[in-house]
Amino acid sequence: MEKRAKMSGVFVVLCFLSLIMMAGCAEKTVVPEQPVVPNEQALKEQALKEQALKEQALKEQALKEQALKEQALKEQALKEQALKEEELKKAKEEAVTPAVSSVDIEDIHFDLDKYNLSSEARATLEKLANWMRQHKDYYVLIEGNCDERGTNEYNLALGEHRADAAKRYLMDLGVDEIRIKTVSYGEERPLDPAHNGEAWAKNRRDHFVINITKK
Amino acid sequence: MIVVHWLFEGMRIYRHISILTILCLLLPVPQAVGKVYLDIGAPTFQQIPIAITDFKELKNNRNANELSGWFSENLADCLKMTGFFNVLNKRAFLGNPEQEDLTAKSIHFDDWVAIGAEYLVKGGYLYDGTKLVAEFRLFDTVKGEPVIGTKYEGQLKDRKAMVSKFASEILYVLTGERGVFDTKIAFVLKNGPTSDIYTINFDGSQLTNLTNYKSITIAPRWSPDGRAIAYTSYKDGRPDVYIKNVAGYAARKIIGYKGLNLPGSWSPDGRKILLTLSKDGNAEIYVMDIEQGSLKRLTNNFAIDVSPVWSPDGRKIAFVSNRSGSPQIYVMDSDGNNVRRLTYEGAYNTSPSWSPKGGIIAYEGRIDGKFQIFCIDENGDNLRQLTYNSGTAESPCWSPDGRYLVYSSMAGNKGQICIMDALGKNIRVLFEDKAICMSPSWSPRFK
Repeated sequence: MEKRAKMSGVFVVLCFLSLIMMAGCAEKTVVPEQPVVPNEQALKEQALKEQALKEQALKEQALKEQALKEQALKEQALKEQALKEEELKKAKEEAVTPAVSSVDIEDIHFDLDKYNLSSEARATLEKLANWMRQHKDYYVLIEGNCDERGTNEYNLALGEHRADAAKRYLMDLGVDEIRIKTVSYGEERPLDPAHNGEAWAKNRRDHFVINITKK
Repeated sequence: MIVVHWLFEGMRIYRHISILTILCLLLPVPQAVGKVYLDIGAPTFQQIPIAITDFKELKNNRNANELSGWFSENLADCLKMTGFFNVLNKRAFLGNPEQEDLTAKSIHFDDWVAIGAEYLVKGGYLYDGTKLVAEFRLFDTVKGEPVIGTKYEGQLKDRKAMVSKFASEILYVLTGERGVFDTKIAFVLKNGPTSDIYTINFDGSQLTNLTNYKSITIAPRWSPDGRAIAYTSYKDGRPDVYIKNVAGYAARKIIGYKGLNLPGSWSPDGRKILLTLSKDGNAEIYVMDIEQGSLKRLTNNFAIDVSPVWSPDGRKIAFVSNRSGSPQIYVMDSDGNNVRRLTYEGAYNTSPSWSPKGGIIAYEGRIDGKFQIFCIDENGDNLRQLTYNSGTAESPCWSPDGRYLVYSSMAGNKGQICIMDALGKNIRVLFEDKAICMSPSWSPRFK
């Protein structure tokens, strides 16, 4: 839309320029012929006519430009309006449901080939359970992960046990089972893709994704 | 392509009969009788020394153009790939093979024996611009006689197939079983958080992607007829099992319960498939009738049970369980009864693959913090380590002839798919990439 407006603007300007040039040319050709039969009246009329034409063209040009400007302004206003409405909508949503970031649950970690919960893991899950009891509109997706060593099929089952261990602990702490989903990614979604002990320790984890319940 | 076994068919039978007769007369030892094959599975097996001369353009009886060298080089590559042949260097050839033709009487067998060649391949071809005729002959240099001869007719584009067909014939006549030249290997190529399934030919050519979901796609398993591959993909957000025709585009979801859905091996008749499902709360092994969709649960244990494979006769199933506290290989009857633990060495043994010849199960085990490939007889005897990889060697899978294993490996930061023979020798890197390579699965022979 904008592009087309610009293009037509360019076209109008070009027309105007060519008009001026034509007018200039006409003057040049007319003037040298006159001295043979001097006719001041005719010359004046000619000049007036040209003047009128010029003015007419200028006026039209100005009108068109004005229209284009108005059009652009209107569009701008509409866009701004839409943006404002969007922002309002967002703000409203946020007002109804507090931002998810208001709970900060870090990953819990596991020993090699194990799925029992450490004391740190339990503390993290207790924090999560507390938060979930206060925010009944949310559910949690627990993603069980492993390091890259060993068979990926066995690791998928191991990741599932890791996710389930966290799920059972949350249920123990009074979170409704309906609000807890699990998925195992085995060794397929490492947090750190490096092939060393540090990366492996980071990757043996449950990750928590918290989302608003779909109504 | 037309194949004509035209020359020594009768002679071959004659030869075997004559060998048997001689053996019976000279060596009345029971195990020698009736066995003329070289036992390539024996630990004492030495590679067979074989010479291959450039092929002759038959019309002019000379080595005319690049096809002469093309045939000998490609046949040499094929035989080397098996790991069973030592193809002698052409520069070691004595005399002038150019002066010999394809007949036994023109060949100076002593010259070939002198350089250590036990077998000799000679060949010729005729190409008129459209039709290609190629002849291959295998000679036993020690006995100084022809063993087999085959003539192939086709087009120029068939020449590779002609070569691998004759290589297969050589293997058959010397070892009693054809090669696996026309097989493929499916595997998983993992790039960051996404993975897809690829196939590649036994010779490393024709890398082809079977799936392209930009999701997690894993665990490829060939159907016994080689037409379809089962696998697990997260393309709908969860690990469900699909079957896809290798030649087609559409994939069919065969199972998608809550939790894990993973394919194990197909039954030998292709009607059933073993699965790992956690729909009842914990990974258990099931068997599914693919057409009817009916399921039967085979394991019932609070521990992880995963990665089931059928024995070649379909009577037993090997699988992985951590019911003893660490993942180990177990064997049970195909109805789920008679579960017994197979592996006791080491604290991590997974990924069983049952040899198509029966009797042996290959698996991956952790030793000194590294994963290596091991073999064990199905009765628990004869445990042996096959790889001593400096990185890792994982997920072994047998070739359809039971002579090779394919496995995945990490070398430095590179992923590899490697092939070795059943003794862990003659390692060949089939595919290498900066991405991680996983879960290779060997196709059956294509019909």
